[in-house]
Amino acid sequence: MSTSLYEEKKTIEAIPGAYEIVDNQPHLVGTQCSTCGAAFFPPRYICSYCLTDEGVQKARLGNKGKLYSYTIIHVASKEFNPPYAFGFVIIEPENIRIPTVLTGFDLDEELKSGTEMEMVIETLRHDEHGNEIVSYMFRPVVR
Amino acid sequence: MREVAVIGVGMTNFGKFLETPIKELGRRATWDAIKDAGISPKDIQIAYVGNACLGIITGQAMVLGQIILKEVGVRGIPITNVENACASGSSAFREAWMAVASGMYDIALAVGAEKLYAGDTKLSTKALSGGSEVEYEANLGLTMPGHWALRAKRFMEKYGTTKEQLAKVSVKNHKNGCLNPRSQYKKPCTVEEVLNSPMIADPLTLLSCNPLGDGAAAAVLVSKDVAAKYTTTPIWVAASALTTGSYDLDREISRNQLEEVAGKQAFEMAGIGPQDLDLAEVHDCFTIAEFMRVEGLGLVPEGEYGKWLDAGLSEIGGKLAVNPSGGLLAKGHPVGATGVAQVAEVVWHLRGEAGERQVQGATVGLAHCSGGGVASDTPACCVHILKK
Repeated sequence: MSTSLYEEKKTIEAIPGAYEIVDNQPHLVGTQCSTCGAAFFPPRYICSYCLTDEGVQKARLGNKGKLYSYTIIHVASKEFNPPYAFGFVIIEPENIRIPTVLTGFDLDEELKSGTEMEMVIETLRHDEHGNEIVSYMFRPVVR
Repeated sequence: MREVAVIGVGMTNFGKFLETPIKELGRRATWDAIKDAGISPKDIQIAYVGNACLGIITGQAMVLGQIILKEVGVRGIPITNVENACASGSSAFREAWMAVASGMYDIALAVGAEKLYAGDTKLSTKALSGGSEVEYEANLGLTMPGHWALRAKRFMEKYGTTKEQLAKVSVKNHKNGCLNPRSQYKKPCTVEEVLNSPMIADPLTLLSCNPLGDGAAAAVLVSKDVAAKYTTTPIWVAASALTTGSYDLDREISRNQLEEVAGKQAFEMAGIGPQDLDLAEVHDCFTIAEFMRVEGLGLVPEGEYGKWLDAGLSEIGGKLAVNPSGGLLAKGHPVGATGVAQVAEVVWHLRGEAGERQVQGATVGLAHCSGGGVASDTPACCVHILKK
């Protein structure tokens, strides 16, 4: 089978630079203010509280947290394939809310607020050219 | 700051008008408002036109206001297009109010016009997702009903609100919509029908979400001196407030703080309290939204709206009529048109022209629109209080 350059399928990050992988562990990449300690994801380069860019630096954020709220989305834009679970996870120790697709559980199963979650990188969808769009997601921690 | 009066309003029927050009919807509403005011198009000195979704639905991402207003002979004057998601129309109204209140202009026009129905729910959903950060939440698959479902889950957990209580918002507003000839839906529904309609984003079903539709509305705003020349029954803009979110990533999402602030600002400016209102047109894009907003704006004590619904206190003839027009849930929500349509509804009630749905003896009404969902907060909240 001949493969031309144009037919190669790519892997694309849904939000470029949203995460980095360190020692096989994915981490969100945000910013943190060294003055007040506030963390931001996506990165904000001017602290919303101190209102300065001084001491605001890129930061590797936590990859674990607790489920805050979630829903099963049944109707979506054409790029997506519902049903899928979407929620907010509060990551620790930064204590900020991250919007995320939830994975790794049966949609019929009910997750309780406060469920411990961990971050993974998985396929979010495929685009119209067949490229794989990947993103950070969170799944319940299996004990 | 000068006093500003609304002397003319117009509104198309709301519904699915796939074959009707936007300029025709806009023209009909604007011409009705001009005729209602008794002015000539040449009297209009400045205009603001709200729209949110056309860039995605038809590709008309620019100069909509100029396109509509040339159809009614309004040319040569300053025309500004206004976008603030679901609050686009109310933000256009606020700009027109500021233009007159500031003393810069005596006669201003506010228009809201929208086509959201596309015969393709996925395309409409994409257009609405533009109310969130497209390169972030929307890109990950969070839809607008999804935003509200997440708030609903927190709200229900915090206040013990039941799915049945949420559904009662839709039942009430559909009942009101039956009395409004301009309403997209004029069909009653039951709690069971709301709960058993197809799931959109758990716990929000199809009948818990506003329908997709098209339409336009317009209002003529003038200074006190001008009002006296045209009418003996001006409706006064007693307050206007516009706020944005905090985007704090640790805030509680079962409360909308920007609405608490806007409500306080508006009541302070009007010099009245929530108890003085006879009706409120509140942005019920989803059943949960009416809960969060009547409580956030201070119209109903925190956590009590479920009891209000159980007791019928927000029905027409109740303690405070909430969404007598049918609200977004039944009357419809052509996004950019809604804010101006709410003003038209309040004006009709205060003039005693609201027909079968008339709130008897109404003298003060509130119109509220909030738009979008960004960083799990709301980017725009616009409140107006109108009085006789």
